[in-house]
Amino acid sequence: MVNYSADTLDATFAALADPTRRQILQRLSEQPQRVTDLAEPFAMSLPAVSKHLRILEDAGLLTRRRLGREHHLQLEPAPLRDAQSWIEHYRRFWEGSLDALAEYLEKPTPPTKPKKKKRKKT
Amino acid sequence: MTTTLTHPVSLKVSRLIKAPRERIYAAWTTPSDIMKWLGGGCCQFVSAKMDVRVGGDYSFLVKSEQSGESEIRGTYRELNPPGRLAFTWNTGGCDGDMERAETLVTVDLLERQGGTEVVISHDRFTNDESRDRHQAGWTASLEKLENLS
Repeated sequence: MVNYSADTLDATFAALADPTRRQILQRLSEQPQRVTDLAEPFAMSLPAVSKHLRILEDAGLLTRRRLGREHHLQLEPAPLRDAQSWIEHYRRFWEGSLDALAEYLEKPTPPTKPKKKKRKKT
Repeated sequence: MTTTLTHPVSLKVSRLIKAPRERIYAAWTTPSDIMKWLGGGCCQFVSAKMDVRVGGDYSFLVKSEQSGESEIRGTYRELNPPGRLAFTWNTGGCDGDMERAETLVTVDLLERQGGTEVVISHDRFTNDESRDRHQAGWTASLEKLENLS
């Protein structure tokens, strides 16, 4: 069974809460990239991109290798898998709950048969 | 992977239930009701204590074969009968080995033809501490960039 750490998961979800950071991860999921290449398509300054990268790095979602002056970034999928399994756990929990709630509340109503009128026996 | 990145943080589950909103709201806020369905049979309720007012706490003691007794607890954040309620949720549901972190559950009850659509959103939110950590990271990375240039 997966052993979730609250701190790790909180950092993962905080990191994923931002659309730019999700886009960065999306691109890194295709292939590792240099910081400068990664930053290029974003309409923001390099420091702004760097801020996002730092958050992703702190959350353990990417690792950075320094080759001379260049930073190469690589996606680390493990925290994503933990986050996904947290979500899946609760999806099952709440779906099961709603099914049970429906059964509980819908049960008292008798099936929709037309009521037969009592007829006097002749 | 793509799925993970597209819908990574918010969990939404919904279902149409053939009952009026008032009845469903009551089923969420009455101990004897909620013990009958919450968890969908994944665990057995031992007790439910609920102080149903904004800022009030609730606590469920549940038992499952897998993980023995565990507690689900939280605080009501929003009570808006019969349309919405929200509460914090601290536990991993029926799995005792999941972490205890504060998460928020919001329940919306929407009037639909033939019943009510129940929409559950379950979100993790970050505390001030982690925001501060990110702030620190931001500053540190700026300094590093300055050193590089």
